[in-house]
Amino acid sequence: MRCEDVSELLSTYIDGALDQDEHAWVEDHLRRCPHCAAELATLRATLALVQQLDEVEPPADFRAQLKKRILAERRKERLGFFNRARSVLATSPYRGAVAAVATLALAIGVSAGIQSPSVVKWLELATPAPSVQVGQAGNEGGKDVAGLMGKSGAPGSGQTLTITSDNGAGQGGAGGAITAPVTDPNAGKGGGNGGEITTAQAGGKEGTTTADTSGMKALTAGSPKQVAEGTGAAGDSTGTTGQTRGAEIPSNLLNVLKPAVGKSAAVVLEVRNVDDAVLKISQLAERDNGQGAGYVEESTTTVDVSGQKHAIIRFKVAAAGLQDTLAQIEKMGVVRSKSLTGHETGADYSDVDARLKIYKQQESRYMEILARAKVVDEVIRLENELAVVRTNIELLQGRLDLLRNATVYSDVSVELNQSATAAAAPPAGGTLGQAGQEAGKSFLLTSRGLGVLAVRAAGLLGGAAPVLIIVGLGWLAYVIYLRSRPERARGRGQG
Amino acid sequence: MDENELIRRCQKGDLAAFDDLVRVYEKKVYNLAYRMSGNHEDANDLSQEAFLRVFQSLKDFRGQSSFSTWLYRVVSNVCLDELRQRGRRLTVSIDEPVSSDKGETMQRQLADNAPPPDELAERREVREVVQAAIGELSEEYRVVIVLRDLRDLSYQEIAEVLDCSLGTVKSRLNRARLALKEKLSQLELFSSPVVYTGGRAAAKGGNNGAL
Repeated sequence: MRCEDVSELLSTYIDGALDQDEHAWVEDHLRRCPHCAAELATLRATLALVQQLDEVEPPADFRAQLKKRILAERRKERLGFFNRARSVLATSPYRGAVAAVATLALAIGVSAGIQSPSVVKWLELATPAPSVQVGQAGNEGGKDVAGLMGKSGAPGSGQTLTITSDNGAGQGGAGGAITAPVTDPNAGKGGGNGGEITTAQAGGKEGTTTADTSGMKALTAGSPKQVAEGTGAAGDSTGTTGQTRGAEIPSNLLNVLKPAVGKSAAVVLEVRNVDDAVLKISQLAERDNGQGAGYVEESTTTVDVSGQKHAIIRFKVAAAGLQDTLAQIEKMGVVRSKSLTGHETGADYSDVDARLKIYKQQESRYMEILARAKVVDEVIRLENELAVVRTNIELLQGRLDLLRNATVYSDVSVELNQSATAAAAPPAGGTLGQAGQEAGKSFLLTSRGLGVLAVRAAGLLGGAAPVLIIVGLGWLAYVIYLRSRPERARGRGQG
Repeated sequence: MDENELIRRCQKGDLAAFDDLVRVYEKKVYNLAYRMSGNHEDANDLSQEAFLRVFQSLKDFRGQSSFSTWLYRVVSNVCLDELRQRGRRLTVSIDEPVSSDKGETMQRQLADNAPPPDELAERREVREVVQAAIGELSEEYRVVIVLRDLRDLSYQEIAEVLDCSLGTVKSRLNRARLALKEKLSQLELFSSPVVYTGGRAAAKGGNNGAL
């Protein structure tokens, strides 16, 4: 047996893990070869040195640290949707594209605001509130773009474009209506789910384009509906953009926010006198129905080219009085669409409640032990544990309050459309033939609307060019600034 | 409470049970991480990360292997991934002992041929040199030495932890030990035979050689 072969077996030999034959060979060789015997001795000495390394002690707060990290991770998992979305955006290979699209939208908004003479005109005329919008997608998964119905007025100042996506009246639970009437004066806001808030001031005082992460807002308000706001910015095209975005958000959001949503209702109503109905509904919302008064969150009225009035009212009402309130509203006119969305809060509520109780028990147990603790080290450790438990309690308490609030109030949104023939109008639903007719009409109207959109978009793109150039130059300057910074830092490091 | 019950409760997300489980294993895990990284800061980070991963993936533990083997597997992977990612070895090097204040003192004394430091300091320094030598091995070699010679795992257990064959464990361990022997021989750490019994004399010889 050669020395190299023995060398390969020495380590295993030391551990006594060679098979019998190999073991015998190695022993035999070692007796006759002083070189290999010395090798073995050195190897043994090496291992002896390694084995004399002592055990070390982990830090005293090792487990407290770990607990904090685990809790932080849990929190992140539960509420970290926005952060994740932001980090995905920040690291996404498409972040350039996202930034480009956002910039383009911004540029269009700004340029449209600057260009449009109607801004000035509108301000002078002081026509009713510039735009009305309610973006709702009270649906799980946002799969509800069943029907598209578009109305488009003649071109010109003050036209209205409405696109409604509706799951059908009376289906309950899964109704979502997205309405984005846009008045030409280019004022409004577009809701989106970016991580940051960007605001661009357009020509007029109300000409703003806002991309708003309404996540936290929605959380506190307890309703994802409010996120889906896309009010007509920069004319028709951006109005639609806002709307599309609005429709996308809740589908994601609902996973996160679903437990915090109680009940919500959306009604589309045809009435003879819009102003009257608005007044009545406001009174209805704000009266105390025995469960506590509600409040109007938004109320907007618009007049379209044909002189017809439209209005949107959004309000909160005590959950217990929701059915009654809806019944009264329905009496005011012909119901075109109605949807009721309910989200279960019970299971989540009791889950949170149970966890809270466990933590509170844990807290009092720690307090008891703490009262008896004598050693300082023990006290410190207990206090660490207590701090963790108390953080949990606070978190859960907050969540519980949120759930409670969401159950106490319901969101209601009512869209009112004026109709001279309100009384004579056929009941919602109608016959199959009517449905077909309606569908055909809707198709034509939507197509027309899209055509107008395309033409407008082209015009706006042209108008956006100067703004884009300015933004581009600013960006370039920023990049140059960023590049120069690390060099300076390096210079300091060397110095 | 027996360990299986503890693990079952952890799998349901019971933090208190997990705390108990960590209490049992924190020292083992921390020591593995410490010997892999060579310093307390990294050892803490690595073992925290490892336990976090354990908590998150505990539901995948079905008891095919013993829990401690499974745990070592997670920890080893965290250490290997992390250390490879950093692309750096130990922060300790043979020329600069870890504990800077004491290390500096010793270094100066030795360089000046000052009287040998007391036994404790000497022993400490030998350990630092050995740890530094382990740290200079590749991560693959380091992990088998740490698992076998410091954590005292069997060949079979190491094979499970590193997910490789027994033969691979044997040959990798052999190469790792020979490599370590080479490093320490260069430092003449064991020029004297006394090393087998204590390491004091060896430490003395090694100091002169090393520094």
